[in-house]
Amino acid sequence: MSLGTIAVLVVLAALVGTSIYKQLKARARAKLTGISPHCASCGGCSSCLQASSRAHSLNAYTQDTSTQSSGSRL
Amino acid sequence: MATTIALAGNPNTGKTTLFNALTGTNQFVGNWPGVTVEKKYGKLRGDKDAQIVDLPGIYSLSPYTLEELIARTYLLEEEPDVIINIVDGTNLERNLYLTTQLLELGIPVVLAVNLCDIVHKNGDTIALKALEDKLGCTVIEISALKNRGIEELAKQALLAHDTKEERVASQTEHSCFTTKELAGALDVLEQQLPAPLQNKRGRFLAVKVFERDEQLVELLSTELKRSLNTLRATISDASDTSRPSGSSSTGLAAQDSSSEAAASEAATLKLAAEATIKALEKAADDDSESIIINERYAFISRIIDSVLIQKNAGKARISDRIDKVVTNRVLALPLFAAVMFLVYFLAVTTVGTLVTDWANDGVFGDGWFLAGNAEGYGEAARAFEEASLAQEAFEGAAVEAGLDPASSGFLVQAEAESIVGSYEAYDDEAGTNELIIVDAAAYEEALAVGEPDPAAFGVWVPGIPVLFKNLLVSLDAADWVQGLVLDGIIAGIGAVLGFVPQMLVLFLLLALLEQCGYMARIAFILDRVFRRFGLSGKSFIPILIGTGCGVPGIMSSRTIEKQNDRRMTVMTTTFIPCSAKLPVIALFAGAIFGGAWWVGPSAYFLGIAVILCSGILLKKTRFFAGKAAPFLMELPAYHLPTPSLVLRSMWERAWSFIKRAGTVVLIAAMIVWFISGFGFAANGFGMVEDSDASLLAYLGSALSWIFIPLGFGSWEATAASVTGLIAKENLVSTFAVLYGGSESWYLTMQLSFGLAAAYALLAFNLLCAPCFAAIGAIRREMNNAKWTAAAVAYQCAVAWIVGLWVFQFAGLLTGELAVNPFTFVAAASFIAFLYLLLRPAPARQTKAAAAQTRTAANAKAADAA
Repeated sequence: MSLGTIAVLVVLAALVGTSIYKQLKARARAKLTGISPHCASCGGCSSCLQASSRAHSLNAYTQDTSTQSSGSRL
Repeated sequence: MATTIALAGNPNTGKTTLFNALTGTNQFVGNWPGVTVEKKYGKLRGDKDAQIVDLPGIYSLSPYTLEELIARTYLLEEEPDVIINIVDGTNLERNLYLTTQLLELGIPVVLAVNLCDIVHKNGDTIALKALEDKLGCTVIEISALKNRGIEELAKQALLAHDTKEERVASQTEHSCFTTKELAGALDVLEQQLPAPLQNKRGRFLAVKVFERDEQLVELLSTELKRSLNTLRATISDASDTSRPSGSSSTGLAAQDSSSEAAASEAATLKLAAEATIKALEKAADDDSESIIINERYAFISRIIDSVLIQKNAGKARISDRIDKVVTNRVLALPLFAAVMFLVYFLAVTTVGTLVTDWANDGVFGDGWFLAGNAEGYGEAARAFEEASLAQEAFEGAAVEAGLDPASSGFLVQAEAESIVGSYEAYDDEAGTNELIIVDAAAYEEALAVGEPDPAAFGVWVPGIPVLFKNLLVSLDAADWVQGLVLDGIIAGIGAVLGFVPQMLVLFLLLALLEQCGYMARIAFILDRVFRRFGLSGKSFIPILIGTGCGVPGIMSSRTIEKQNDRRMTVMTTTFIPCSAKLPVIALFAGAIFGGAWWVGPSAYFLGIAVILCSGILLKKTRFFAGKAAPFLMELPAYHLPTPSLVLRSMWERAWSFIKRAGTVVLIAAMIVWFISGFGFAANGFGMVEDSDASLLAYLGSALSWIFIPLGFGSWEATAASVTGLIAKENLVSTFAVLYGGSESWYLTMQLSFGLAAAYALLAFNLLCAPCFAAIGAIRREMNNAKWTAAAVAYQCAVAWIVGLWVFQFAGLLTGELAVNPFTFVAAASFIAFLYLLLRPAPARQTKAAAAQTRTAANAKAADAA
């Protein structure tokens, strides 16, 4: 096996190792914070917050609305 | 000492924008313990000791919704040092209702009047000093979107913490309950509170007693615990001694006793207060809660009269005028269809394709021209590619006839034996595959076509695979290592990353729609459609979020109160194409449908149609039957999107996609390369020349029979669909690895699938079970293994049936296939589907109604007897 082959394999092993380490770290963070492992490894919080904030906004005032027609503006 | 600042306000007041502005990138997401709404917290920019907690958007502190309960519990139990109450300056009257409640909590409040730029633009004026005098708290004018007034707000919040006592006293002085009788009654109730609770929060508790708040016992328990803790801390400070061993048991005992004490105090209070409350209710001819609400609004009305000067009072706002068109009963749906068509058309076909072609063919291909005759090189390269195919086809036919293409005189021999080869090529104009015949003359012509040298056409930048190939060759890496890096990793990841430009365009357009306020209108518009079929518009919010990623989409279904509606939403959310499915759509649109304009939008509308049909079908089953929950929503005012926020949203989503390519896709591509290149040959396990003998081929073939009726029963397509379960982008990387990586794998794909089979494969992969991360989210939200299995099975079944219809019906139309037994299966299932869709919902009695019927029947029987 040439030195070049060994060097490439070492780099690949480092890449795979880093990838697995990041996944494990995300899982550990997920356990710690109670969020989903996917969210923990994603990190795109602000765009998601924007979206989930919209979800909560739209769903926040949903009870005791029997007198309001659906879709009407508050 | 660390300062905790809570951010409270109505929904859609710009709370999240303010939170982002206050914290910068120092933000985290967590779950509220025991409940189902996210907690967002972050460090204040410029002061690491100050923590900002973002509470859910709420309209009041009444215990009616989950969000309101969470916010109230947090404010009472955790007692932050300061509350920043963000109010919408363009909607001051409605927003101040929550303010009047927050001011009673005994916590300093800083009022942030947001959207001031719009207030000024409308020509309106808010007298901030007068507002401050009326409320007894600091008022700051801000524009969270334009980052104006944020520093001053943070400064005032920290200052409020330092002068807490004076602030709270000032807020208490400016009570909103000014009617003599009510103020007197509240004073009486405040005095009736147990001595430890007649503190700074006495007025708040007295109001709750007056309102006959259902959570009174919990409230008192919280307050008693707090008093007990304060007392214990005071004693501990005074004696300066600590008893760690005994303290915890004492604490537990104290907790138990405080709960019991709270229950007994509440009973006593209710009894003592009832006479006072009833007297006032009789005098006002109203219930106690309404008396409090009226008093608050009367107070707010007086404030508004004195602080707000409106230039165009009574006239319709610009937003209202736009809404007259955008949410119009007739125009809304066509407009929505046009907007979403445009989004996917621009992202997948036009703008996105231009850049993606450069990324796929240039950066992750052979290379690209910085300057020069790119078109001329393209033509020469295509001619060489065709010539190579012709050579391959002719030599293949010759070998079959027993000739050796390497031998001298091969051409003469082949000509003498009239050897003819053939290959299929895609005809761009006709949009179909064409059979090209290669005879000896054509072969001779093909031999004459040399590989063009790009440098001869201009300044040429080699692509990443070329650079890596040169590097590996110079390192003298082994052939199999070169194969792993070039045909496995770079081909796999490159194929996925090549679609990043299209993703950027999609994310940009979605962020623009979100920021300008149109996304909220989509939910509003589709609520009408959903309601017609017995579904709630609430179910569409997770679907909207699911266009980015299915995981948060599934998670956001938590806010749906009805369990059957929530389960149905979880089951259907991932039918909408998420960002990971976009490369799959773009791959099929580009490789097989020649960049046809309709592929991208049709994938989106197919998702919507399947969600709607699923909703209608499932609602008619006993598991999901029931009236749709009412859906009331607030439409935010339209405003121009802020470039920085749009770009940030776009980049964060794209970066998340790129990161996934570097982790999940990297490992998956390596595994796919390995199991598609290794297998059991005659001399045992090892590298195989023909991938049909590989491990992946065995695995794919074991399942491929399932997809034969759908037109893509090859092991390659099956293997790609299976790897798509790890992450949907893997479908692209697997095809890239299996179909030859950087070397014209689009062409191989084109030749492998007919149009109907290709769309069936696309439809199946868009609709079938989502990636493992999303299945995990389904498992968490369903909290039940059986329901999770049912959801995944339902999605796979729907995907299979839709794939079957597409292949069988479209295949018949395009002449791709003749009538076969599966055509009858497709027709029968389609008729059954129409019947289930159109039949009236079976009448189902509720348990109470059934019991009533039984009682009536029994009574009748008794009478008869």
